[in-house]
Amino acid sequence: MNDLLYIIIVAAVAGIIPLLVPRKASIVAGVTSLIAAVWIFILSMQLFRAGEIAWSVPLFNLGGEIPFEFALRLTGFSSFVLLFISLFGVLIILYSLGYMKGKGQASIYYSYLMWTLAAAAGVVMADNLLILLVFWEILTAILFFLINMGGEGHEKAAAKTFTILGFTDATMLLGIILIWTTFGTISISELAANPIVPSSPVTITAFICLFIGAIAKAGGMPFHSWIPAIAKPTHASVIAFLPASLDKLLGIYLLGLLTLRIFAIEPGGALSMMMMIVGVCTIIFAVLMALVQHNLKKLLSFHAISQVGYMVLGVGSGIPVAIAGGLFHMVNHAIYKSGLFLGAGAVEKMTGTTELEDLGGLAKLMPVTFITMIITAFSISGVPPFNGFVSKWLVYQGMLEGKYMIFLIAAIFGSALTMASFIKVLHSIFLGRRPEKFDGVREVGFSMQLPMIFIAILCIGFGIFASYPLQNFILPVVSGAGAISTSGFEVVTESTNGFWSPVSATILMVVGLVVGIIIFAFGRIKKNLRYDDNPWIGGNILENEEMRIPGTHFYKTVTDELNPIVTGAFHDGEKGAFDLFNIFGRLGDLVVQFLRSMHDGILSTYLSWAVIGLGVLAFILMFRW
Amino acid sequence: MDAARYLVDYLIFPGFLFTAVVGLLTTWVDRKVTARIHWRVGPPWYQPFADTVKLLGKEVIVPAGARKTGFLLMPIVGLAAATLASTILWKANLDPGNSFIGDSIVVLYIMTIPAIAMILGASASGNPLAILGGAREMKLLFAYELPLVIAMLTTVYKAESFSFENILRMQADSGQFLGSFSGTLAFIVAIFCAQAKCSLLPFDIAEAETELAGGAHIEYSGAPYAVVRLNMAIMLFIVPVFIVTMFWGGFTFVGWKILTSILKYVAVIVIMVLIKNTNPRVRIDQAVRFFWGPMLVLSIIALILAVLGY
Repeated sequence: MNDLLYIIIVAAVAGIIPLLVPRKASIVAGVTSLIAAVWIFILSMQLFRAGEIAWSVPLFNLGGEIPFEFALRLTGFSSFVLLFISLFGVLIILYSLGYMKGKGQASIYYSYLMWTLAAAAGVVMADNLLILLVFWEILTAILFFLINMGGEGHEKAAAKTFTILGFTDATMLLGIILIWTTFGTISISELAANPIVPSSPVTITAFICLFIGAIAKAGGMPFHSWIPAIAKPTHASVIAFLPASLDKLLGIYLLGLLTLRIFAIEPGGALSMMMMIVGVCTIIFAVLMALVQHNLKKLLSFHAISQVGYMVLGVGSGIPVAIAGGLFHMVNHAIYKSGLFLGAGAVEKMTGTTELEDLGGLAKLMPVTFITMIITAFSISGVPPFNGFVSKWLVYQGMLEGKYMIFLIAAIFGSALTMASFIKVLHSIFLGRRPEKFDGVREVGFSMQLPMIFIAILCIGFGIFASYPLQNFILPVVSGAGAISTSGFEVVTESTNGFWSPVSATILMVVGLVVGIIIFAFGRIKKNLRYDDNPWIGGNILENEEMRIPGTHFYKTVTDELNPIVTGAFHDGEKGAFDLFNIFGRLGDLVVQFLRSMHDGILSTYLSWAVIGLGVLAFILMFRW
Repeated sequence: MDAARYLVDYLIFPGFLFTAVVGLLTTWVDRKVTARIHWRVGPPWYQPFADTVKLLGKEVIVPAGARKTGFLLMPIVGLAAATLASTILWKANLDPGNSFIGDSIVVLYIMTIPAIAMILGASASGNPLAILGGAREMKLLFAYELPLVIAMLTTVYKAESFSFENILRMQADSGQFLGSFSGTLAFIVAIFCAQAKCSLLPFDIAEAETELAGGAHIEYSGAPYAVVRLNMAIMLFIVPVFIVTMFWGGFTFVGWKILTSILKYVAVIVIMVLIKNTNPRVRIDQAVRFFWGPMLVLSIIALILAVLGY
């Protein structure tokens, strides 16, 4: 059997096994899924090395002329996305072994995860837009079921997600049909051989339709609102798997497919501008809303939106350096954001809450979670030398090359606000003072620690040795990749003369730490250390509870008092003013109200409506013939 | 060989030793000028060194309920980052042909690490006053970062590159950036941002001796406090260096340019010290309003002028 089909079938079949296992032995379901996921990961590694593979079987001829094939093709781009998809599959299933312990419906949960993996593999391997869409829809459906396994408020969140993603999937279908009728083919490789220039209204509409599908999956504005809605009720592992990593990979994969292969987008043209504006607005508005959140999972979900902005900005600009930055940011984001959600899940599992106001001072009790969270938080904030910095830096270089100064400023400022928001998180959960009720909290089990540790190592590794992933995963995909060269461990951009040498920077930082420790040694710090004095608060001695300052109000002075425009955005954002779902929901409500008002329950009214309808029908039929 | 050179660069010149010594001397200049403004005599030149040595011998108190490792480690992280930023800046000025570590955007990011380390250290101390100071520092950081970035981008726009080499060459070829309209405006903005970055009055809101009793630094003592002081000294040294490099043609140590280089640096320091001594501390909301209001407008005007070619 063909390797490509094999992966999908293995994942799909492995998803059936958990259903056959008795409900009480859900750990067996977990372990079998884990084994299958590891197998898929190994397979995808082999495929990544193997290069381009294509396989197809003709299904039928549409209208006797247009052939429709079940076509799979693994290109360089899709094979590296597949590699990361299967990697996250392994990590999340491993984490779930501990996380789902004692939670209901664990067996079917593993089935869903495996089917998600199968569908995601199908999306990246599909060589036919319609096949891609079918797998895409399967993902949407499974996401709906996974959300429905969550806690309080899941029904509403799942419905919202399904509405938004269902709508955007429909626009994708429209886009695909437009392409099919105009060009007579929807085979991706055929389209890529002769990219469509979006100049006529039809092609532009087709592009925008597909673009909407891509950014809705990734979580870009204005189709973002499903992610914050599901953040709180859904299991942390599910968010870490789908919206945080897989949906980003797939959404940006589709965006890359559109801008790099199917369509020939002119850099600096109207469509490119539109994408960059969507990107920048997403960065700024989402991060402003993240600043005011009080719930950890919700805050992280707004950052999951905000970071998409960098990817859309980079990929949409059409400048090779920025495209490379955007695609690299996609990978990096999937890594650190799933790590952050896994950390949130660990905190939730052990303390029972993700409300920032209730937490505090857990660093000593949950050291592994703390260290991995601090690394992932620094990565997302773009602190050098972690991985988020490199990809953002590449996007900045691209923006300078295109002279998009406003976008450049917004992107840099967005990363400062991200930092602010994560300072709040680190303070509220791990530093600060610990409420006494959490004195007995322990670290999570090893199977949950392992994925977090692995992700933290990836964050450091992809940051310090950034030239390796760039060289192997990103640059082969980007045309005009000569704009970036990686000599040794250094990353150099040609056009703007940018230069970043993370290995030397890290070594020197470590040397700096040693210098600091030597200074401490000079001060004979061990001998001079004294513990357990009360903190000095103007001579007062306060109770622990009195000294607790949650981080949730850190930025209140800024968000409340200043700048009415921005402040307005904060509050409206919280109420859902940027939420298309709510706006259309209100419109739909009006229609429903009208229809409802006609239902008065009186038989004669219904009868008269029926008679009128019949009359209209008869009238039309009479005139037709 | 390269590695050994890098180590020497980082540890001795122009890295840690040089930066620390000149940084401490700069704090002496600050204290001396301040004293003269107050009609006092002021300390002798070795006072900052004596202070540091004295602090190293003092007791180190970790308050009850503090997260010990984070509390003690954070000043060192700040020190490592500040030293790295200093090394990159000086290498760019002294040896512009060779790219060292990174470009201006890297330095901009690395220069925020000491502030972030300070905030996390304050948070780890568990003292409510320190936490208030840390929160203020963070607000201040994202307040001044926006105009500072825009001011910096005026130069970057002209040089069409983030690299110090191109920025310095552009200024050598077509005149110091400060000489143009856009350059002057950007320089003014950058000076005020530098004031906040070095936490000098009127923006020492995070420490605020009179209300927060030292704020973010309140619980530090002994050797860690010596490192905290050293960090502030280094920041006071490198932020003006960054400004001179970006806007005022950088430093050259050849011939009579040695004199002008030193004068440029002293001029920036004196301006900053004068601002410090003639302004009372503002509230945090006033500071944010100042940076997102007048400073933002000024920096945007500078950028527009730069784009138009002035």
